[in-house]
Amino acid sequence: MLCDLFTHRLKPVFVSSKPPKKKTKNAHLSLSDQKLQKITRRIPKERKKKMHSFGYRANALLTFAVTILALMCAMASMSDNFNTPSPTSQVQVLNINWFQKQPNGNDEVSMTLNISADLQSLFTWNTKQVFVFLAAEYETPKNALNQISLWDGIIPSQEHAKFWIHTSNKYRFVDQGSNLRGKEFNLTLHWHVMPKTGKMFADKMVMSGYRLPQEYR
Amino acid sequence: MGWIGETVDSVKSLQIRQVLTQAVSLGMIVTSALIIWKALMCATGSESPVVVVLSGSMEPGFRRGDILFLHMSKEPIRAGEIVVFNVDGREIPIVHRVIKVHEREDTGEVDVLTKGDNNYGDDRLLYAQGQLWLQRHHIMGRAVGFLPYVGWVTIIMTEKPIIKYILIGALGLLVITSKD
Repeated sequence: MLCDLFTHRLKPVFVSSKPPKKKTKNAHLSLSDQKLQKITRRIPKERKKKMHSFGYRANALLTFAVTILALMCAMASMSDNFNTPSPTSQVQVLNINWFQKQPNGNDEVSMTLNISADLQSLFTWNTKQVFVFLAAEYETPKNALNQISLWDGIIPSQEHAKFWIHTSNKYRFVDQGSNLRGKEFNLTLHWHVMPKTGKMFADKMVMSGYRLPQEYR
Repeated sequence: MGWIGETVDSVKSLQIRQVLTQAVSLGMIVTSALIIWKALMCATGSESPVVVVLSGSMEPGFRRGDILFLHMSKEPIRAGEIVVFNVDGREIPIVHRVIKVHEREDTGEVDVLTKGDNNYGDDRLLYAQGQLWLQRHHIMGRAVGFLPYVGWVTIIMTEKPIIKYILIGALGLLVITSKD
């Protein structure tokens, strides 16, 4: 009897609207159970499980995290476009160390260079490094364009971006053929900005008016 | 353990129509991946639009496990560009920087020499026996964009195939058991 009172208080619905007609054991309880079963049968078993399962949540979280990360990478890469760099550079050919014709007929020259540049304005927060190189560029009757890298370097940070170097050519200056005597050429400083993520940038600065000697030495 | 039991139960309780739906959705995932890849191939003009850096020869710019996006346009190749090239007799393409270019006046053909930023000498040692220059047909594309670390997924999967199979199995199970 005490037990009945207890359940009645818990489920006031039965007390007010539909009092149990039969006083059999668990009559009102089994009724509610049936109702519940009817309702649950309408919901597929699987959906009940899927809504909040671990895999579902993990998937949602991972997708969200990856989307945000990709968005941040794209924004970091786009922010590079707001930077308008103004690098300066000066190159002098100090000496022609030697100048000769190889046995296979190609001209080769060795020179001493003095390169000074200020590339600090190339650096942004998304810059990992700047690759800088100096190329000799000239035309010959056979080739419309010859580009020969003479020196290159990797600038890891903005503090190192203002430099001055005195060097002989790091890579061999060899022509395809024998066209270098008295040849006028450009020295072009190229830089390639490597980002921490995203698009790579490249630009150059052409310095003209250099000329090789008329005779081998 | 309960989770596995439930999964097994749900697999057992599948109807034929549900099985078909799952098969179709699995097929959709596979084909959409293929479509994206082929569309990228068309858009970039490169036969492999995305490559993973496998060696440290371009450090510190590119490290092992970084991803490069390639682009292959009609524009001529110039010094300083980072190109991906195939050498005859080598299966794995190489990503290095162009340091010398000689472009013909009449035909527009190019002779290109490459070098890894982190290597001491140029790449003539890597080329085929007696090969001095790369030509246009060796070059698969030039690197235009860069994404760090993501390539580790493929490196790990090629070096430890067991992980690949576990991953494919888990994904397959997930697709089969998920209901939409």
